[in-house]
Amino acid sequence: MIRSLFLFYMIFIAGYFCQAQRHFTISGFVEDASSGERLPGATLYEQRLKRGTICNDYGFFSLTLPEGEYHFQTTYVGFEPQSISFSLHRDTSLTINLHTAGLLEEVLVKGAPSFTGNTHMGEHTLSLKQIKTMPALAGESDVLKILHTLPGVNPGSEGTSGFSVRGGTPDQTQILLDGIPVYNVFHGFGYFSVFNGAALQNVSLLKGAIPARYGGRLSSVLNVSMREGNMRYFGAETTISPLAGTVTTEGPIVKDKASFLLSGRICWANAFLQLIQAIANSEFKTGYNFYDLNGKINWKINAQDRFYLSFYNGRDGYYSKWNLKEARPDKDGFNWGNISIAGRWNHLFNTRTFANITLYYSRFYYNKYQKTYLTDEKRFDRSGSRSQLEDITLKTDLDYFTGHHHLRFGVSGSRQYLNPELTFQMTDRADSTWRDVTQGAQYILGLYAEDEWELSEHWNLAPGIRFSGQWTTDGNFYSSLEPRLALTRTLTPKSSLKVSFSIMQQSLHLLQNSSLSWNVDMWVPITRKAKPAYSYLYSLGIYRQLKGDLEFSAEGWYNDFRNTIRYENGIRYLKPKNGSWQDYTLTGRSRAYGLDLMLNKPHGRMNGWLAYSLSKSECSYPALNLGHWFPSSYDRRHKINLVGNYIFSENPQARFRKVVAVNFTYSSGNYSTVGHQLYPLANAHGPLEYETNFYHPEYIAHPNNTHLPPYHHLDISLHLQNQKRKRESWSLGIYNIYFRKNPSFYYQKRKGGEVELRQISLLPIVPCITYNYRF
Amino acid sequence: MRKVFYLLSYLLLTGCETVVDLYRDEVSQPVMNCLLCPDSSRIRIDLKYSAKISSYPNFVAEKKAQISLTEEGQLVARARFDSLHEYYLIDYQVKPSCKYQVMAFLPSGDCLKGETQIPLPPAHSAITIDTTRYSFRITNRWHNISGEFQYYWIYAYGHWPDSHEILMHNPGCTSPLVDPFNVDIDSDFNPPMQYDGYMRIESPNDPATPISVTYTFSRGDETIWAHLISTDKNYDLYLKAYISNKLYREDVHELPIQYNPSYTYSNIEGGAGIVGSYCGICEKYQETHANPEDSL
Repeated sequence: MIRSLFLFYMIFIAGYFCQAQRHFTISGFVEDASSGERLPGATLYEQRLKRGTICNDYGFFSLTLPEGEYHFQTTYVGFEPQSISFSLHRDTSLTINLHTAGLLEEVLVKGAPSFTGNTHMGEHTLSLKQIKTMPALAGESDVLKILHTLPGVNPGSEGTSGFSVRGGTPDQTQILLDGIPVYNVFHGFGYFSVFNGAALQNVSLLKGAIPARYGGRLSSVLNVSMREGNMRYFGAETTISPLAGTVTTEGPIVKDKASFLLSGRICWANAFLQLIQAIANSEFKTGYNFYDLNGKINWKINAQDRFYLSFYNGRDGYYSKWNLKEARPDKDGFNWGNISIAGRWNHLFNTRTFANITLYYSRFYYNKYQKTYLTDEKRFDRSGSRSQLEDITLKTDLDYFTGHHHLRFGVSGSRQYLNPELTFQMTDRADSTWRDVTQGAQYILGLYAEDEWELSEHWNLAPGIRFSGQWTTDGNFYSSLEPRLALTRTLTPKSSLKVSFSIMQQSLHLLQNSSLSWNVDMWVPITRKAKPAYSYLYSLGIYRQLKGDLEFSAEGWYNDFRNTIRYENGIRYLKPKNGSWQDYTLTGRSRAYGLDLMLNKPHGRMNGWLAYSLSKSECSYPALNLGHWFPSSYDRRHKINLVGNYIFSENPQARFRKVVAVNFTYSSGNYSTVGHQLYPLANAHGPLEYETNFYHPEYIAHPNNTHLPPYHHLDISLHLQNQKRKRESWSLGIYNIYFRKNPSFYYQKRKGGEVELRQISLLPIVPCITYNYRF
Repeated sequence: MRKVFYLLSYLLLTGCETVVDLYRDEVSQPVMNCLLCPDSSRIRIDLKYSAKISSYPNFVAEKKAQISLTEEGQLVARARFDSLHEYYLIDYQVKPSCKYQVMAFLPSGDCLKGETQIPLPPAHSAITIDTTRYSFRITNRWHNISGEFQYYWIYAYGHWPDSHEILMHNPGCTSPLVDPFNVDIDSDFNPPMQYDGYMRIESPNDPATPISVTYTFSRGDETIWAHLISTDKNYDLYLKAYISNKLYREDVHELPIQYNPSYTYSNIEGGAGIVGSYCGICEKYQETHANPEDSL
C-alpha cells in the first residue's frame, strides 16, 4: 500500500515538473501551394520527439510542445513531403504549403498517416491523381471501383451496384461527400459511381476503428472530399471518354479570398444506343443517360473564419418503349437521383480550438412509371411508384488540442423525411394514390465525445462515446450508447500493434429487392417492427514499415450485425396496394470475420500494392433455413488484388511521358440464388392436391445457395502525358484483357424436355481511349 | 452496314451467354413430405430423392427407410411401405393442438425429421355458396381464435365431366383481410390475388372476432369444392414458397433479368420437404346445368 502511494506520489511529482516546463502551441493549416486549397488529413511528424499530428477535415493542426527547437516533416498523399525547422518560444501559427508531386510522380494509397504510430486502423486514403492513373472501365475513372481493390472490400457480382466492407451490406457503409451523406452512389448497373473524379480531392475509407464522430451506419465510413477550387488562378479541364464527357472549371472569385469549383459530367451512351437501334431498325426503343453536377464555393472570411458552400446534383434516367404504339402502347421508365447542398462555417477560436458548423440538405429519390397510350401521345394511363428520402441536418463539431490530447465533441440534429413508397394509378376515369403507413419524418439527435490521447511514447489510446436518440415515424423512441475504443502499442520505431472495438447503430434500413439493382432499392425508416440495427466491430492488427518504403499490415476482424432486415421470400414488386413494406420483411442477424493483409509501396518509379483478404460473411433469419446460417451474397472467401504503376523515366526527346498501370483482381465466386434440383411436391392431399405436376418446386435450401465461379480480370492502361503540349494527356486502356466471362446472373431456359442453366456475363473485353485537356 | 451490326451483335451476345452445368456432381437430396390432417385416419409419407431440373423429373422413392411417428414425444406408430404406390402409410388419427414428429432413418444411416403442431380448425366455420347469380358467390365465415396466430387458406376446385379437378383461378375478392402479397399495381384484378387462386389470411393475435370473406368466380364447372382451412406455420410457409417459386418459373423465361428465384421452405432436418398440418371444412356444390343461361 505504502509502495503504491509512493509510486503515485512520484508520478504526480514527475507530472508536476513536466507541466512546469514551459509549453507552447504550434498550429495552423496545411495547404496546396499552387491553389491555396486546404489539405485534410495531412500529417506533421517531429522526428526527435517521435510525435506527430494529423490535420482535421479542414486542414487544421495544433500541437502543444515544450519550448525548444523542432524539425517537422509534413506529408500528404500526392504531394512532395516538406521539412520545416523552427524554434518554439511562443504560441505560433503558420501555414504550410505543399507542392504537388505531379501526375506521374504520384504517390499511391497510404494507410493511416505515420502508418504505425497512431490509433487509426483499417484506414486507406487515395488521392484524385491516383484515381486518374488507374485502369478504368470505358475510360471513366471511378473512386468506388478502386476501393474494390482494397482488402476487406468485396464487390457484388458483375452488373450489381453496391459493395460490402467487412461483411456489411452496401447501406451499412456511410458514404459522405464533404460530410454530407449520399444515399445512392451508383449510376446504372453499378459500373460507375456518382463521384465525378475531376471534382474530388481525396477519398478515405475507415473500416476498422470508427471514431465516435461518425454514426448512423454499421460497418464502415467512406469520406469523399471535394476540391475547394483554386484561390489563385483560373483553370479548366475537360475529359472525353467513350461513355461520358466531363468539364471542370475553377478559379478565384476574389484572389486569395474566395474561390469556386464547378464540374459537370454527362453520359452520352444514349446517343450510341439510339444509333444502334436506328441501324438495326429496331421496333423496340430504349434509352439511358445520367449526369452529375458538382459545385463548391470557398470563402476565406478572415484568418479565423472560412465558409464553404457545396452542391451536388445527379440523375439517371432509363426508358423503354415500342415504336408502334397501336400494337404495343406501353412505355416503361425509371429515374433516380441525388441532390445535396451544404453550408459549412469554420471558426478558429484560438490556437487550440477549432469549430465547424454544418447545415445540409440531402435528398434521394426514385421514380418508376409505366404509361399506356390510349389514342395518341397526349392521352395515356399512367401508373408507377415513387420513393424518396430527405435529410436536413444541423451539426456542430469542436476540435480541442491540449498536451497529448486531441479532443473532439459534437452535437447533431437531423430530420429525415421518408416516403418509402408511394404508388399511383392515373387513368382517364380516376386517379388513385397509396402511401405507405411509415411515411413521415423521423428525428435523430446525436452527441459524441472522443479523444486521441498519446499516453506515452509507446501507447496511444482513442476512447470515444456516442449517444443517439431517434423519434420514429410511428411514434416510438429508441436510444443507444455507442462506445468506441482504439489502442496502439508501438513495438519498435517501425512496428506497432493495434486493437479496436466499436458499437455502431443504424437508424435507416435499405431494402434490396433484386439481384440486378436498377436502383430500386428502397430506404425505409426504423419502426416498431423494423427496429434499429446495431453492430459490434472488433479488430486486431499489426503494422510494420519494411525496407525500401514498403508498408505491411495485417488485420484480423470480427463484425456482428444485429436487427438486419430483408424482404420475405419471393417479393417481386415493391409494395402491394394496401400493404406496407414492413409486413413483408424478416429480421435477422449477420456476422463476418476475416484477415486483411496488405503490402503497400507508396513511393517510387514502381509503386502499388498487393492485397489479400480471407473472409467469411453469413446471415441468419429465424424464418429461413430453420434459422441456420447461410452465406451472404457478398461473401467471397479469398480475394487478391495487385495494383501497380510503372513510371517511365523522363526523356526530353520523346513526345510523351508514359506511365503503365495494371490492375489484377481475383476473388472466389460470390453467392447467388439458383435452383439446383427439383423435389417432389407435397400434394398427396390438401390445397395442392390437384396442382399439376409440371411445377415441382426447385430445391433451393436457402438464399444464396450457389457458389459462383471465381471472379477475375486483368486491366491495363497506358497514360501518355504530352511533353510538348503539357496540357494534353491521353489514356489508353483495356478492361478484362483476357476476355474472362465473369458471371453476372443465371437463368433457366427450357429446351425440349430439358432445362438449361445459362450464365450471362456482362463485360467481355472493353478497350477505351480517353482524352484530357487542361486549359 | 446492317449485316456488320448484326454480326457484331451476335458475337457480343453469344460471347456473353454461356450454358453452364453448375451441378454436375450434385447429389440428390432425400425429400420427405407428410401432411397431417385430423379428419383422416391414415397418414401418408412420401420419401423420395430430388431430381435433376427438367420438364419430366424422375423422383426415385426410398423403399427401405424406418419411419416413426411420435405424439408429444411418445412413439405412437411406425410406417409401412406401400410398394404399389411407393409411399409409406401409418394408420393413426392425429388430434388438434398436439405436436407430432415424423422421423425417418435411411439405409445410409442418415436421419430426417420434421415436426408440426396440428392447428385448431376454424371456429364456428361455415361456407355458403350462392348459386342464384351468373357467377358463384362463396362466403366463408368463421371466428378468429384468441391468443394465437392463425393461418387460413381459402380456395376452390372445379371439375368438368371427364376431366380432372382444377384450381379456380383469379377469384374476385374485395376483402382487405386477404394477403395482397406481391400484388402488382398494374394488375387488372381488384385486389389481385397473387397466390395463383389461393387466398391467404394471416390472423393476428387478436381477441376472438367473427371473420367473413366472400369471393366470386365465373360459373361453368359441373362441380365445385370450396375449401376453408387453417394451417400450421410450416405448411403456411411451404405453400407461400411453392407458389412464389412456381410464379417465378412461369415468368422467368420472359424476363430473366428481373427476378430472383424463390427459395424453398423446408422444415426437415437432414433433408428437404415438409412435415405440416392443416384442418378445415369443405363445401361441395354440383351444378345441374353448366351455365344458368343453358336452363333458360
